[in-house]
Amino acid sequence: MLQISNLKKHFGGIKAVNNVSFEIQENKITALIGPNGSGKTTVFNLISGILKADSGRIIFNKEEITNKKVNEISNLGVSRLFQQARLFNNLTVKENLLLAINNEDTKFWKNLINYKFTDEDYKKINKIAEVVGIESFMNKQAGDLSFGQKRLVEIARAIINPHKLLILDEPVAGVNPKLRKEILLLLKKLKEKGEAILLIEHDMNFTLNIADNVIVMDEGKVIAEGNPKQIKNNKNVLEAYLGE
Amino acid sequence: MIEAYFIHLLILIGIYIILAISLQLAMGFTGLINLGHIAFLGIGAYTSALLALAGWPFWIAFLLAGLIAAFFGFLLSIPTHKLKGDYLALATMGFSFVVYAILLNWTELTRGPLGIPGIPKPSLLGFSFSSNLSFLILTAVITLISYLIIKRLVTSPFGKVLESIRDDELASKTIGKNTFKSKAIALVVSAFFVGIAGSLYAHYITFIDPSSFTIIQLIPVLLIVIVGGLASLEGTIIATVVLVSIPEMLRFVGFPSSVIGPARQILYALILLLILIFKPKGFYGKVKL
Ligand SMILES: Nc1ncnc2c1ncn2[C@@H]1O[C@H](COP(=O)(O)OP(=O)(O)O)[C@@H](O)[C@H]1O
Ligand SMILES: [Mg+2]
Repeated sequence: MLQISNLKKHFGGIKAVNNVSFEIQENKITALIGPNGSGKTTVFNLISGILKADSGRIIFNKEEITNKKVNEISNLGVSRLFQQARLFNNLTVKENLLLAINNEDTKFWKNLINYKFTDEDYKKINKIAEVVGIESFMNKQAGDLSFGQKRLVEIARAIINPHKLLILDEPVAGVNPKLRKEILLLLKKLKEKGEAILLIEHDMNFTLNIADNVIVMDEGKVIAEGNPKQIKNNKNVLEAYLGE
Repeated sequence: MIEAYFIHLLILIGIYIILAISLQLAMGFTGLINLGHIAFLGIGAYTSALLALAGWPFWIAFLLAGLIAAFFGFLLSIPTHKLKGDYLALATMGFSFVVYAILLNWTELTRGPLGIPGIPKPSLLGFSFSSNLSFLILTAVITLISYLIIKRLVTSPFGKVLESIRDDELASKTIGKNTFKSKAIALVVSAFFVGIAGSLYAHYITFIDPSSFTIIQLIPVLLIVIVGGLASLEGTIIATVVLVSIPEMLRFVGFPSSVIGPARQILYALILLLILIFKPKGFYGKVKL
């Protein structure tokens, strides 16, 4: 459903993404792994339109999305979780989630005259809040949450944002082991429901435990690709990680 | 005597409330530090004054004052849509300098520094608002309508979109919001209300010149917004009443006019300093500066 071909992005002399090509399939969890600074987040920034590619193409569901605007790509069905916290800190958790439901809230006249969220909208966010396990602090201000709670709210917001593909940048980085396990289960549950997920994760064990397919990057290039078993025994991968 | 003065004060408070709540819409709710806000006041005041003097009915001049200011709000939103924080403040400050320079130098239209005297008092359906009491009622009605519309907007889901842009514009785009459009709407609506406040001001004072629309005149409005608390309309209204009235108290205590001007500026600077140290969210705000 997502095809990336010959993607390049340089920052001055740094070849952050250097001729990267890969493909991801529907109904699968694909993991993008690699040492720090290998270009994973930059690939995500290119997919979601935050950075403009120097060259190469990104095709999503047969449509070219290379260099489209961030909101357009989101509305085509790519929902993203950032590596760092990006909640709306002065709004409540509930408001953070409601914002992601649809874009009726950007229609000026409709809102001025009379627009309210429907019961269905509330049901939808409550259901996902329950699945993710954040229903106990829905009315808290997002800025007052703990690190782990923020992470969960952001995951919930990315799930609520209508999408065909979830791209998650280090969803469990800095998260305690208990929560880590919960997020792992949550992602597996999402996959069973038919979600396609592209996931960046630094932690090899976590990744190999959850992914159907693994893509390994090092210094801006894809150095290996395959199922977890193949990756575990790949010489290039071991070198990249040991050489870190 | 005191009663007449009181009415005058209330009219000023009404005009300042419109100025301050429309700045809240742009700055408190959407995070757009718009130092061009005062330019919209000038655009509204001149539009309304010139049209009225050319014989147009008040209500048309009044509405066009809002619409033309809104159009300039839209124009301002285009080149500034990628700017944030200090850069946006600088760019919008540039806008207010440009408008001021035009008001000062396009003498065929504005008479430049001589200003425009003899602006007629408003009249509607044959009724003339020439007494200050009737003007106060007109101002109160328009202030109330402005408040209700802005209140409705910021409490609607659209208001939350604006707040999401203030908190994290990239995150807002990432969940699919067209933030360029939403910010433009915020600026346009904000400018519209400042424009009609400018019309009220022009027809109340009956004389305008460019010096009323410089960035210095924006300082009390900024102070009101900060004291009231970002994103709090009620706080803004209370802050307007207090901050517009306080310096006037000095007059009653017996200070001469020559002292009140500088005293007001010192007072405002002092209040701003104290707020920033002790109450960075303002009195009623929930949003940090
Ligand atoms: N906006 C940017 N400007 C300059 N250099 C960048 C930028 N973003 C990333 N880089 C550089 O590109 C390289 C890849 O970074 P990144 O994609 O964040 O790696 P990863 O997510 O794999 O840790 C790093 O050397 C990083 O310093
Ligand atoms: Mg990264």
